[in-house]
Amino acid sequence: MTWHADVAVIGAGAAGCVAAAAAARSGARVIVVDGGAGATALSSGTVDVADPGASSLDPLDAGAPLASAVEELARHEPQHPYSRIGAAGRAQLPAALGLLRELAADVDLVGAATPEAAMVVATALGTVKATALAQHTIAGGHLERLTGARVGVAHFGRIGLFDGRASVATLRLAVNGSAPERRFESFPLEIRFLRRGRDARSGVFELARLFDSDEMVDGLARATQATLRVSSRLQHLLLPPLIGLQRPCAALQKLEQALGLPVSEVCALPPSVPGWRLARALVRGLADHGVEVIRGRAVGASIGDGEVRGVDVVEAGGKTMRALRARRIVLASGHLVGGGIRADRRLMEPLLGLPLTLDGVPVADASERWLAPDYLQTQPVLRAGVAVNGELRPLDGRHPQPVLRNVHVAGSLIAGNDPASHKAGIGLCALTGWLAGRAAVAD
Amino acid sequence: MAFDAIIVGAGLTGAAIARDCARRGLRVLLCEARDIGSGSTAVETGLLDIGVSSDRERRRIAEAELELLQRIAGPLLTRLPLLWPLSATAAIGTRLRQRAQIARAQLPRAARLGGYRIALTPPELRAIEPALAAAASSGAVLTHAWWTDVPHLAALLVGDAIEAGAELRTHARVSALLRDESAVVGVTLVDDRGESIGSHAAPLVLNCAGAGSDDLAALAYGAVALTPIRCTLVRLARRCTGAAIALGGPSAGLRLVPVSHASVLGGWREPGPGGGDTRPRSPSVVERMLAIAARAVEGLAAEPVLEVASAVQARAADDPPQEGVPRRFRLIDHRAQGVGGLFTIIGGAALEHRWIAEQVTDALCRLLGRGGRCVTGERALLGGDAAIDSGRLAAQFQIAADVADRLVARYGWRAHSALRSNEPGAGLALVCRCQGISGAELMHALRHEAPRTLSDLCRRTGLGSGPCGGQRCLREAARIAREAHCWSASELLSELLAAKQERLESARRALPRLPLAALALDQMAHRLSANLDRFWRADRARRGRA
Repeated sequence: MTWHADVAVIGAGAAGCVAAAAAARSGARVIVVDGGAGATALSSGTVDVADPGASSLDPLDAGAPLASAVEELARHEPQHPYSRIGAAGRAQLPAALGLLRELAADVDLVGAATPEAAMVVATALGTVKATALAQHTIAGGHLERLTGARVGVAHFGRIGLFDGRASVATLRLAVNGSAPERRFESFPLEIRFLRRGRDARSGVFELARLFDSDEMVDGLARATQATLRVSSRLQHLLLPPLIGLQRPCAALQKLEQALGLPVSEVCALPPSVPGWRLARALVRGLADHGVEVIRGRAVGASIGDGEVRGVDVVEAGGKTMRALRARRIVLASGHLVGGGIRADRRLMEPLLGLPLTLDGVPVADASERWLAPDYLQTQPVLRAGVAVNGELRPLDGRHPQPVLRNVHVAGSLIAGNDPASHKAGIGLCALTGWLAGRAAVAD
Repeated sequence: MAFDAIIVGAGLTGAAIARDCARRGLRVLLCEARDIGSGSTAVETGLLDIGVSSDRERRRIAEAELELLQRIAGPLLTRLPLLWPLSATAAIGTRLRQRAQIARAQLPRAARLGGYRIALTPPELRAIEPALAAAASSGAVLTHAWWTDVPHLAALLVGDAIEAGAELRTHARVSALLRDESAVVGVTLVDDRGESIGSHAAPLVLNCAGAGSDDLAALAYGAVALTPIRCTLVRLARRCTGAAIALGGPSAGLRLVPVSHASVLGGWREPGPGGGDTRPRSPSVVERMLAIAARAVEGLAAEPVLEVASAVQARAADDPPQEGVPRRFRLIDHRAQGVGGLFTIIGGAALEHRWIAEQVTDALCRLLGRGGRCVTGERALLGGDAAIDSGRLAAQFQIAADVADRLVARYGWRAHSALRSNEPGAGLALVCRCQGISGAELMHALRHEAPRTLSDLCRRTGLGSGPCGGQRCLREAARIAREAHCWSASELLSELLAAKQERLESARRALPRLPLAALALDQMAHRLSANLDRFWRADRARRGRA
C-alpha cells in the first residue's frame, strides 16, 4: 500500500512541523514522517533566533533587538541561512514564529513584553541565556521581571540532577557581573519532598511524570510552604525544569495559587523535559492543521529524472517498507543530532544523498578540519550541511541550478549555521520550515 | 621537613617505588607534574600476561609477579582469556605452538599463572570467539591473562604510600634541582601556572619522569640516553570481543582488550617523536592499527572510535627492541656524569612494576645505609585483601549488577564503603549511564584518590570516555567535585571547560571515525542551551581585569 500526498515532509522537529503546517494552509495534502526524538526534543525547549547580546559582557543584558541581531548575522556570515534567504525571507520571521506558537499551543510559547526584545532566563546550570520565545512555565522567570526581587532557587537535594546550590553560586556570579539596575538576589532552597531512596535514582522524565498527578503537585506545594515558612520572604520561586510532562501549565498554576507567589521553571539542559514537551506539542498541533503524521523512518528514496518520486518508509514497530509518493518533498531531517547527517568516516546525507558543503565548498574528506582545537571556537562540522539557494532548493556547491527539482530543505540540515556559536536554533528552523513549506506549494 | 628520597613522576613505576620506600620507613615525597598515571601509564591496555618473551629470567619474574599481584590485589584483577590467532602472529606462531606443547605437560601450574595452555583447533576457536571468524582457519593458542585499570592501580599504590606516611604533590612540576657542589640535594616545585610552591631537600632524587626524564636530568646537566617509543591506545565505541586478542603488529604488542562496555586497541609501539605531545605519530597510525586488527576480527575495519590517546614510553637507548619482549628497566646513577644523588629509572613492563620498585628501593636503602625488608609483595593494596561478592553488594544497595561488578573490580572490598559514601545527596544515582558510574563512586575517588581537577577525576574513574562523550556526566561530576573541593562558581566553570577541552582533544584524534552526534549534542547543550561560552568569556575577561 502506498501513501499519496502533495507534499511529504521528512522530519517532525520544529522545521518539519512548521513546513507541514505552512503547506497545509494552502489546502495541500501533507504527510509528515516523524522519525522520533531529534534535535528539537533534545533541545532546552526555548526558541532561539540569534544572540542579541553578542557584543555585551553584561550577562543579564537582553542586548539589541532580535531583528537587528538577525541582520547582523546575515551581514557578517554570507554562507549563513539568514543570508541565503535574503531580506524578504528574514522579514517572514514573525510570521514563522507565529505559526510555531500556534502549533505548540500546548506549551504556550511566550515572548518578551516588548516585541522584538529578547527574554533572558536562568538555566539549570545557573548561567543565563537570551531567547526569543520560551514556554509559559519558563517565561515567568524572565530575569527582567525579577529585578530587585528576592528569588528562591528550589531543589530537591540534588535529586533530579539539579543542584540548586551550585546553580545559585553561578547565578550570583552572573548577577554580580551585571549592571546594578538589573540585579536581584537569589537563594538556594532545599525542598524535602522527593524520597531519597526511590526517587534519587529516577531520571528527569520519571520525576516529571510524577508531577502529572494532582496529589504530587499538592504534596510539593505543602512541602514548599513548609520550607518557605522558615525562610525569608521570597518574591519569586524558580523550580527545576521537571514539573509535569503532560500538563505543566496547570501544575504551575496550582503551585502559584497555593504558595501565593510567582513560580517558574529554569531553562533546562538536554536531555530536557521542556524540549520533549515542545516536540510533542508541535506534532499534536499538526492534527489541527489537517496534516497526517506517520511514525516511522524514511530509509530510502526513488529518484529519477532529477526528481524524487517518493520515499520508502518503515513504520515504527513494523518491518516492511511502504512507499510515500509526493509531488514535493521538504527535507527537514535535522543535522548530526537528528540523523539528517551521518558521520561515518565521511559526512553524508543518508536519505537522498544530497551533496554537503562546508563554507561554500563541497565538504572534503579532510576530516582534520571538521573540529576546531578549542572547545569555545565554532566547530566547522556543525556548519556543514546542504547548501541552498534563495528558495531553499538544494545545491551542490558548484552549480547554480538545484540538484533535485522538487525538493526543498528546511531546518538544521541547511549549511552555514552553527547553532552553538550563532545561537540560532529552533527559531531559524521555524523560519526555514515556513519558507520551505510555502515554497513547496507555491508553484 | 627533609625527606630521605624525592620521587619525581607518579606513573606506575614512581608510584610503586614510593609505596615500597614508604613501607620500609623512608620519608618520601612523590611529586608529579600533572596527575597520577597521566603519562605513558595512561596508554597501557591494562592486560597483564606473561607474554612470549624467550628470556627465561623475564618470564620467571613475570610469573612470580602475577602470583604476588593476585595475592595483594586479587579482587582488583579481572581474569580474561587471551587468544593468539596464529594467522595474526605468524612470526611468533611457531614459538607459540611449541609453548602450547610444553604447557600441556604442566597444565595445573600454567593455568594458575596464565601460562600457555591450549592450542585451539579452528572449530574450537570459532566456538570460543565467533568474532575471530576471519582468523579462525589457522587456529589459535589460548592463554589466560588478567586485566586491571593501570592508572587506577597507580592511584591505589599512591594511596598505600600515603597511608605509610609518604607525601604527594600533584600538579607540581620540578622547575629546578637544588644542588650542593656536584650533588643534587632537592627539588624546587612550581604549580600549573608556573608559580613556585616551595623547595624540598633530600639526599636522593629519583627521576621516574618517563619520557620527560631526559629533561629532568638536564636540569642538573645530566643526560639520559633514551629512545622515545610512541605508544598509542584507541578506544572503540563498543565491546567487540569477549576475549582479549593478541594481534601482532610492531613488536608483536598489539592487543584488543574488552574493557567493561568498550574495547581498547593498544600496545602499539613504534619509535616516535618525544616530548609531551599527545598526538599519535601520524593520523594513519589509527587506520593501520585497525587494519591489522581487522585481519583477525571481522567488522573492526568499520568500527567507530571514541578517543585516541598517545604517549611516549622511554626505552633505554642500549636496550634493543626485540619482538614480543617488553622493555628492560634501567637504574641509571648519574654519578658517572658527575651528578651525585640523582637516579633515573626508565623502561620496564607494567607487570614488573613491583619487582622494579623492590630492586630500586633495595639499592636506595643500601645508599642511605638503611635496613628494612620489602613488604610490598605481602601487604595487600587498599581493598585488595579480601574478596567481595558483587551479587550480594548489588542486592544490598539495590544497584544494577554491572555497576556492582565495576565497583568490585576497581575497589575490592572497599566497594562497600564507596557505596556508603553517598551522603549528602543522591549518591546512588548514576552520573554516567554509559559506564555505570555513580555519584558515590565519584565521592569515594575524591576522598581517597587525590584528584585535584575535574580532569583528574575523569582520569581516575574513566568518566566521560563512554559513547556519550561526557555530554551530561561532566557537569554533574563538576558539581560533586565542587562540594568536595569547595570550588567557587567561577572555578567550577573553568574546571568544566578544562575537562571539556581535554575531551575534545582526545575526540579530535579519533576523526574521521568519531561518532559526531554526541559531540554535536554536547555543543548544543552547553553553548546553545546553557550559553556557557558567553559566560566563560565574560569570566575570563573579568579575571583578566582583576
